[in-house]
Amino acid sequence: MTAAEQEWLAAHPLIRIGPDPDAAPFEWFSRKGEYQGMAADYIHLIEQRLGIAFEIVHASDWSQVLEMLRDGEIDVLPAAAVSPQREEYLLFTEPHITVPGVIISSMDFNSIEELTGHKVGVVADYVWDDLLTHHAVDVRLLRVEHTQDGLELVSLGAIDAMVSDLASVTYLVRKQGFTNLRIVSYIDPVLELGLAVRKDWPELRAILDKALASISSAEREVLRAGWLKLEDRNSWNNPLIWYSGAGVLLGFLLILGGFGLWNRTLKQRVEVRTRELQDAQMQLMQAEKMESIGQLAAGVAHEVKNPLAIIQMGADYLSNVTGQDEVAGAVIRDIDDAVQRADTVIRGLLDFSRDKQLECTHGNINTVIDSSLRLVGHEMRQRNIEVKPHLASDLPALDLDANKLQQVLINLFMNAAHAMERGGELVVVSQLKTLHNSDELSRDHDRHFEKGDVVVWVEVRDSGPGIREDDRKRIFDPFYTTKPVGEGTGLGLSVSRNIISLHHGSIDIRNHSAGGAIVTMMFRPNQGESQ
Amino acid sequence: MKKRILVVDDEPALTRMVKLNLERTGNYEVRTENQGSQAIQAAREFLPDLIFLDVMMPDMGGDEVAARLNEDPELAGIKFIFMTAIVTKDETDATGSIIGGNEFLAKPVKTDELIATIERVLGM
Repeated sequence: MTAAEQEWLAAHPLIRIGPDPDAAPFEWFSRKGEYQGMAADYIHLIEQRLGIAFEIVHASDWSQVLEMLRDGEIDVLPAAAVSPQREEYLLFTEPHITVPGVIISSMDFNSIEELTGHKVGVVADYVWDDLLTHHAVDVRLLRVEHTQDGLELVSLGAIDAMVSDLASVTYLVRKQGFTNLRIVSYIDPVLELGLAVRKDWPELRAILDKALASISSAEREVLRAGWLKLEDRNSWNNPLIWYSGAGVLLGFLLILGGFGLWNRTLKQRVEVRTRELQDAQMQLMQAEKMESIGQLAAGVAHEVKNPLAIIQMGADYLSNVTGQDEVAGAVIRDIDDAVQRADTVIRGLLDFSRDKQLECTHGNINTVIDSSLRLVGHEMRQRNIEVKPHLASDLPALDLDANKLQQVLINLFMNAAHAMERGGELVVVSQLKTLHNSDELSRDHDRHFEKGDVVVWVEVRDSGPGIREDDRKRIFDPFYTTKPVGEGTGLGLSVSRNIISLHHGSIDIRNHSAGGAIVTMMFRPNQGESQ
Repeated sequence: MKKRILVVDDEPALTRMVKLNLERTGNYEVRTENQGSQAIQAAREFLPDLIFLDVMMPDMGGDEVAARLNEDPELAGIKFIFMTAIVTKDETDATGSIIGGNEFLAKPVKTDELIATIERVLGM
C-alpha cells in the first residue's frame, strides 16, 4: 500500500459491510448471526492482509441491504454482481468470486439453444434472467424468487430446467437432496461477483483491489473448494438437523436412559468438524508451499539447464579432440553421466511441483538400492562410513520408477552420511514382511496398509546422533532443513515423501533403539508375481 | 555444398559450442547471434538454410523472431529448430504458439541428437 492509502485507512477506522443475509454459499448469516460463506472467507482474509476490522451490518434481506447502502448506512458490499444500474452508485473491484453458469434438469440439455420451447426457471433480476431475456432463444421463462424455488419446481416436473450458477446449485442440491436433478450443461457467461464500494470512496476500491491481488490463486482455489465440497460444514445451523437430532436424543433418553451416547456422538461430531477445519487449513498451507516451490523450481531449472547444455556440448567437442585417449574418454563419459544426473534431478524437482506421473517399470527394489549405493560409494569411503547392505533375495517385483526411487535413496544415504561426521555405519535392509504389530503399522502415516498385509520393507539406518523430536515432526515439510544456510534446500525429504506416496507407499523416520536414525519405507508388492 | 546454419541463443558459450561441434563435421557453415532482435538482420544477410532459436531470450523471444522472419517473403522456406528448457509456464505458452511442423530440442542436448535433428529437418 502507498502512504496515502495507509493514511486513508487510518482516517476511516469505521468501514461498514453489508452482506446478503441469505445467499449461500456465497454469504449468509448463521442462526447465531455469524457471517459465513465464500465472501465471508474473503472478507476475513482481506481484514488480515490490511490489518483492519470491518463492521458487519445485519440487514433482514437483500433489498434492505441495498436500501441501507443508498441511505449511507453501509459502505461496502462483500459480493455483488456488476450491473449498469449498480454502477451508477457503486464502484466495483475486480471479481473475486467467479462461478460458471449451469443448466439443471432431469432431462438432457447440452446448450442454451436446446432449451428452445421449454419451460425454464431463473431467479428474477439475476444475471441469468438478463441472459435468457436477451438471448435469441425462445424459452418459456418462469421467474422465481430464490434458486431453491426453481430447483423445487424442476424436481417436481413443473418446469423443465433451471439456469443458475454452479455454487448455489451445488450447495442447494446437497443440502436439500434433490436426487433427480443433475447439472446437464455448463454455459457462458460465468457469474462474477466483486466487492462493491460506495461511489465517493475510490481510495477504498483501490485498497481492496490490492488486498485481493495479494490472495494467490492457490488460496482462492482452497476457499472455493472449501465451500463447494465441505457439504456438511454448516449442518449445525440447519434447523432440520437440530430437530431430528432432538428426536434422536429423546429416543436415546427413553431407550438408554442416559446422556452417555449422546455426549459421545456430540464429541465425535465436534472432532470430525475440528478435523475438517484442520484439514482445510493444512490444505491451504500446503497449497501455498507448493506454489512457491513450483515457482522456485521452474526458475532454478531454467537457470541450470543452460549451463548443463554448455557442459554437454563442451564434452561432446572434447571427446572428438582427445580421440583415442583412454583416460580422457573415461573423464568425458563421467561428465556425460553427471549432466544426465543433474538433468534428472532438475526434472525431479519440477515433477514434485507439478505433481507429474511416474514412469513405472516392473522391477526389483534391490536393483535400485544397489545402483544408488554404488553412486554414493566413493563419498561413503571418504567419510569413513562402512556400508552394510542386507538385501533379501526373494523380493517380489514392484511397479516402480527407478530414477525417482534412486533419487530418494541417494537423498537418504547422503542425509545419513551428513549425520555421521566422524564415520560410522550405514545399514540398508530390504525384506518381505507381514505387518502384524502396532509399531510397524505406526510407520505407515498415509494408512496405505492394514494389519496382515505383506509389504516390501526397506530400512536405511545410520549410527549418527539421531533426530531431535522437534525436527522429526517437521522433517518432511518443504524447505525445512537442519543443515547450515546454503547447504541444504530443505526439499530433499519432502520430494522423497512425494515420490514414495506416488508409489502408494509410505515413509517414516524415527530414532532407532540402538541409536542413530532409521528411515522405513513400505511398498505394496505386485500380486502373484516375483522375480 | 555446406549448409548454412544460424544459431541464436542469449548464452554466448552455448552458441560457441554449437558452432564448434557443427563446423567440426565439415558439413556446415555456422553463424551465431546472442540477441533475438539481431537475428533478423543476420538472417537477411546470411540467408541460412536453418535457424536454431532459443525460445526464451531477454530482448526478443524465439517465437517472435520466427514470426517476423516468416513475414519476410525473401526468407520464406527457412527451417527452424527451437531449443528450449520447456520448464516455465511462459516458455510453454510461447512454445505452444509455434508448434506446427517445427522441431523442438530440450536442453541439455547431445551433439549427436542435434545433428540427427538437423539432417532430418533439412532432408539430408
